Amino acid sequence: MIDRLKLIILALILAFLQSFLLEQVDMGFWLRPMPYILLFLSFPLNFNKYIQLVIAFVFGTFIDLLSGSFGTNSASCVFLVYIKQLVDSRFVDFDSIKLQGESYINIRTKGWVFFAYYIFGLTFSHHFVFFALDFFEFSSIFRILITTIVSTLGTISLVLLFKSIFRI
Amino acid sequence: MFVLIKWLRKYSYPLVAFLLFGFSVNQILRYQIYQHSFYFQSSITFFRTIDVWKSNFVTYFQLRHDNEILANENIRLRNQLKIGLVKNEPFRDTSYSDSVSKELSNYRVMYSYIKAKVIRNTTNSSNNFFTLDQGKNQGIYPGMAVINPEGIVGVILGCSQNFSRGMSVLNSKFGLTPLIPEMNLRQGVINWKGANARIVDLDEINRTEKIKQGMIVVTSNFSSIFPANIPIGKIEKIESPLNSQYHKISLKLATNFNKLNTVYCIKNNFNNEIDSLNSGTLNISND
Repeated sequence: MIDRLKLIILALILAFLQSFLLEQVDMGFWLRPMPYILLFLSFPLNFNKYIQLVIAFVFGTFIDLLSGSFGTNSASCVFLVYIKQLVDSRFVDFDSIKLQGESYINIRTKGWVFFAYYIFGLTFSHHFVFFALDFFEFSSIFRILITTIVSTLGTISLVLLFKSIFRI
Repeated sequence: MFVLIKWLRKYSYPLVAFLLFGFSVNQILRYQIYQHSFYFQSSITFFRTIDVWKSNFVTYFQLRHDNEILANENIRLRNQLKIGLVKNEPFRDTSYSDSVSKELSNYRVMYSYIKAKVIRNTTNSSNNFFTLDQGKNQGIYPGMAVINPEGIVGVILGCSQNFSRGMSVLNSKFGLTPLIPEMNLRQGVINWKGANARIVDLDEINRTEKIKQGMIVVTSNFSSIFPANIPIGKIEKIESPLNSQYHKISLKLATNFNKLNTVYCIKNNFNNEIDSLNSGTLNISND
């Protein structure tokens, strides 16, 4: 129960942070960090996968409503949760993680290297879908890629910062 | 049925994800102005390209038919030119085009023609339209008449830079007053009621007029859009119901709309002058 409440509060904080702070500050053309994916990374691994999808859609739509970009955030959130489910079912053994007393992937659960691959892959896929839908042109594929990589690095550093501050 | 349910249960997760993703993309395409216009612009270009390919393929099979009607038209035009008279004279150092231009020098050019190709055409809906591969850049504008070598085709309704769309005779909104040259009768309205792509109705001709089967119907010189004497069709069936003061006439169209390929758009060079004269804005001096 307390975990659920924690997740809801985290979602609200991240949504407002994203739409009222990060979307308003101009950090240069290439850099648009979206640390709200921390919410999906801290979903418990035994959480119902359909509910995860619906939550991703609703949360993305909420951010879209606040920041006036219809559909881009929700599409990329749904994509992220789908990919995350695939990765979790393929590479992560839930029982061993449960024995460690964790409910989701963290730095100490499977080591630095796995966590780096995990977070970079997921963030990159989310950002790539987001910017592909945002630019919406095949000819600007290099701009999409560069923006995706730069923003991915920005997002990961912000996510790690939040993780260390709030001990999530 | 069981197989379907099994399949649905097995792939329900990707399906739900795909549905939600598709719903988001649908939102993007509907509400974000840039993505919306980009999507529709490129889809329109894509479908036009497909139309051009398709018509290039289909016209290849119609070449024989086209050839035949163009040859017939050439014969008709040659008969109008009266070049035979020039030929019978003793030797004169004039070229073919010279004799033609001398023949025509007393006239002013009322209509100019622009050739176009039909890339999309319908004949089986209640209001039929066609699309041409020429547009504003080639000098086509809304309101131009469209004919082909067999007879009338329709009227241009709208143009983009390189394409234009027109209403064909097979459209319930199309109306035209024809001329029956054998009786010198300008009466009635051509009107299409649907059902058959070769038959149109000729309404509102008085039952006192003695119209016979097989009479030719052409465009009259009253229209400022269509030139005079362009074939419309042949009278196929006449009924004179006793409860009406008009004949009920079916007309077999000269144009075969199922094989529409090359058409000419007709520009009336004096259209502005005629219009301003009719609306009374042109000053006419008394002398």
